[in-house]
Amino acid sequence: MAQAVVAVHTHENEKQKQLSIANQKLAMWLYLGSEIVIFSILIGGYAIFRVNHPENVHAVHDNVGLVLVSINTFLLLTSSWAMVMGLREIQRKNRQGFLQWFGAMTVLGIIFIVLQWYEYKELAHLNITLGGTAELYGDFGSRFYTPTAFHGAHVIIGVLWGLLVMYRGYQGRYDDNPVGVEVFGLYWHFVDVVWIILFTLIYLV
Amino acid sequence: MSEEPEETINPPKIENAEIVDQETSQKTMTPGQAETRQESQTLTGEGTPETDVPSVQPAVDVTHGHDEHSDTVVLPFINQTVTVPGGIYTVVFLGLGALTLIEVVLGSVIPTGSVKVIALLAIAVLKALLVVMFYMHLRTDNPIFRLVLGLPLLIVVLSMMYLIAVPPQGGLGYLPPPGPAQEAAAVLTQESSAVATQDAATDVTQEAAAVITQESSAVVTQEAPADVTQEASAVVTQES
Repeated sequence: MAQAVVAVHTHENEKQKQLSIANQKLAMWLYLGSEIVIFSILIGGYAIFRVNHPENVHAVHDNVGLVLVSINTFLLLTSSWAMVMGLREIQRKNRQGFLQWFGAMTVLGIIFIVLQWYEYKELAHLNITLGGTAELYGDFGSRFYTPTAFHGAHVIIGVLWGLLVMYRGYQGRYDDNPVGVEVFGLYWHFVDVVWIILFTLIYLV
Repeated sequence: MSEEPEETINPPKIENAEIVDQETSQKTMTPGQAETRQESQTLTGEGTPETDVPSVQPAVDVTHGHDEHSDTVVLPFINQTVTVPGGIYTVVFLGLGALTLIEVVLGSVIPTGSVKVIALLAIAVLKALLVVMFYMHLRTDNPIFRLVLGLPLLIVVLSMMYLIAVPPQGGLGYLPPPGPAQEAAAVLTQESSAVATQDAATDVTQEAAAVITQESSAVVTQEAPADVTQEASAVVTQES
């Protein structure tokens, strides 16, 4: 009889746990839905400028190389892979593996930010700045810096959040329920998806 | 779902639910395995039996099919089975890398045009889909998440298409600077307007001149009879 009571309570706890997992993930998806709208406005602003001022964009492409930004793109893709591998490990109760993969993800994110800062420096040397741009490049500056810097801010927040997740994982908080890692993963992968779109639209098209 | 022993509790029925095994292969438990592993149905340790813990079903992994934790992957289209560390995640990563490489090459080689734009955007969308479906687990997760992601995305895409396609004259009030053809048309319009203005001015001038001439004639005519009258009076005076 007592065992039956324990069984009922455990069943209820399990149900609560599953509901909590579903709620947390739904909340993150809803947040990502709002982020889609925000980023789309910024990307749309660039897209309209690209359509109406192709000569300015071509001038920038002629003077700015693709090597640095391509490396950056590979770095972010690799960090996304490291993130999901870390999640896989924590779901297998492998805390050590989780910390290794997450460490790699964080390092790659930091390198991405550093390289992005370096690229901004290079563009500043070409007189492509947020406030004003050389006549050759028109109003490219503001259309470029707004979406990329907003994305960069998201990467910085992601790196800090990732460090927090690593710390909590080290404490063993995700051994039984890794949903916190998965929720962070949704955010990090979304940042990666945004960069995929930005890289293609701004640097290649 | 595998059969439960009598002492265990049936977990709630959750869509896409899979029982996560604690072994490295992460296989779904078969009824036979469930019976032999009855004592180790917990979340702790490396599969070590915990005899003091009540027999409960381990937390059901509602997010992933077991294939996402397996190192064996069946490649689509070619139906080839490969075993790579990391399984499907590594395969997707390699695919993303290859697609990025193709993108960079296309972006550098193909001259700007509609073909380039369509090809690059298609590759970007494919890459985004791979990340969303496999890394964000949208493929195996609750379908409501697809709606949460898809609805704002649809609205945004439609809005973008409208903004890019809206006619440059009016619409949202955005008037881009004229291109070369438009500039030529504007110059022609200005010239024709100037000619019309000149013609109109000439007409006005002519009309004004005609009016002045008429008026002056009228004045002269009025003055002339007065002069004649004076002359006639003078003549009459002389004769008298």
